[in-house]
Amino acid sequence: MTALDSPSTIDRYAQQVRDACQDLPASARDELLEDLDEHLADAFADLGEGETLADRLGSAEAYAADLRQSAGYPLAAGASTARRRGRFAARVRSLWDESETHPQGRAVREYLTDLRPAWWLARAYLVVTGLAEITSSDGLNVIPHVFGSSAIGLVLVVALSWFSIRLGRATQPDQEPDRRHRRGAAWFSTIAVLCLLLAMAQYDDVHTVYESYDEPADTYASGFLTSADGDPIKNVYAFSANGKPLDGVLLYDDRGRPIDAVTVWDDDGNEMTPRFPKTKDGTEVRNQYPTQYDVAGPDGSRVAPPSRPNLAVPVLGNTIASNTTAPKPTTTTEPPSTTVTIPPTTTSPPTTTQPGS
Amino acid sequence: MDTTQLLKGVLDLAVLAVLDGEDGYGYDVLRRLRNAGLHDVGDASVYGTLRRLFHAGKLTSYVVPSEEGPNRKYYGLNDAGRDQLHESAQTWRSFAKTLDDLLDTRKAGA
Repeated sequence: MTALDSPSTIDRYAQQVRDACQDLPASARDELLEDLDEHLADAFADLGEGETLADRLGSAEAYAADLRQSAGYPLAAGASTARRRGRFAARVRSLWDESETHPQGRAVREYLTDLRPAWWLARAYLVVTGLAEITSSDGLNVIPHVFGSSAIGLVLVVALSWFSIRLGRATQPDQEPDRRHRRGAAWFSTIAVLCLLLAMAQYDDVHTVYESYDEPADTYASGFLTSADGDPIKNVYAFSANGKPLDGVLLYDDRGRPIDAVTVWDDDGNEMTPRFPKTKDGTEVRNQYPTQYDVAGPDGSRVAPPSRPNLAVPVLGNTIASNTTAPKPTTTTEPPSTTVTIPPTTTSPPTTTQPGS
Repeated sequence: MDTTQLLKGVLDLAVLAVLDGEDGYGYDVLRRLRNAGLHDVGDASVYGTLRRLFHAGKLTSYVVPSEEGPNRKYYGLNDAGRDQLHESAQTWRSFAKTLDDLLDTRKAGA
C-alpha cells in the first residue's frame, strides 16, 4: 500500500469505469464489469512505491475503452466524452444497441441507416435556411434567400450538401472512427436542428398573421363577400321593384346556404358588431339584411354604422319575375318561400336606427 | 513496430495458451502473460478477452473463496476452448512461418 493511493481511489476509479460504460445495455454492462472490483484490487495490491492506479492502468476512460473493445462491445462514440454525456443520451444509445437483438429492431436500424444520406442533405439545407432567416427578412423560400439573395442561397446549399455528404461518409460505421469527424458531424446536425426550430418559429409567425387576417372574429368561418373590385361588402340593401327599401331580407346562395359572410370592419377599420335577430328557439339568423351593427371606434366609443346608401332604384315593371323557384335551404331557420322575403313583423327594428338613440 | 497492435490479433490465442496447463484468475492470467514476455499487454484487454471467451463458451468459470481479499473468479479451458486453441495455434504457426520465410527470402536475395 502506498501513501499516494488508498481504497477510496479504487472506488473512484471503478465508478469512472462504470460511468464510461453507462451507454451499454444493462445486462452487458453487469457482465462486463462483474470482476472489475477484484481486478482493481489486484492491480492496487501490486502497485510499486509511489505508483498510482492511473500510472499502472491509464485513465479510467482508456481502461473502459480497452475493456469494451477486447470484450467485443462497441466503443462509446468518443470514448472520452462518454462520461460527460447525459443520462438521456446514454439511454438512447443503449436502446439503439439493444435494438440489434430484436428482428423488428434490426429492421428499424436498417431503415434509419438507409435514411442517413437523406439527413445529410436535409441538414445542409436546414443550415442554409437558418442562415437565410438570420440574414434576410424575405420569409421562407424554397431556395433560401441568404443576405436577400437566392443565388447565394443556392450556392451555399450546393456547397454545404457536398461538405455534409463527405462528412457523412467519413463517419459511416465501416470507416475508421475519427473523433474530429464525429464531433464535426454532431455539431453540424445540432446546428441543423436549431435552424429547423428557427424556421418553424418563423413559419408559425407567418401563419399567425394570415390567420388573423382571414378570421377577424372566430364566429366568421367563411371569407368575406367582396364586390367585383375586391372591396369587402359591409352590408346588403334590398329594394322592391317599385323602389321601396326592404328590411329583414333573407339571402341564400344557389345551394341553399345562408349568405352570412359580411365584413365586420368599416372603412375606417372600426369593428362592427352585428346584432342578429333570433328565431324562437334562440338560433341567430345571420343572413337577414340589412344587418344591424354596433360599431366601436378604436377607443371603444360608439361610431355611426354605415347607413343605407341614397340611391335611385331603376323602376321596372310592376311584377317580380316569379317563375323561378328558390332552392331549399339546408338550415333549420324559417325557410322563405321565395328568394326575397318580407319577414314577419316580429323581427327587425325599423329601417332607420341611429346609434345611441 | 508497435507490439500492442500485433497483440490485439493474438491475445485470444495467448490467453488460451496460458490457461491450457492450469486454471487462473484474471490478474493471474495477466501476470503469466507478462512473465512470458508480453510486457505491453494491457490489464483491461486481458479482462475483456477473458469475459468474451467465457461468453463465447470457450471457458469455464468458478469462484474460489479467498480468506484475505476478494473472492477469486477462476477461468479454465473447456473442450471448445481447447479446440480453438489448437486451431488458432495452427493458424498462427503457418502465418508466422509465412512471414519468417518472407523475411528470410528477402535477406537471401539482398
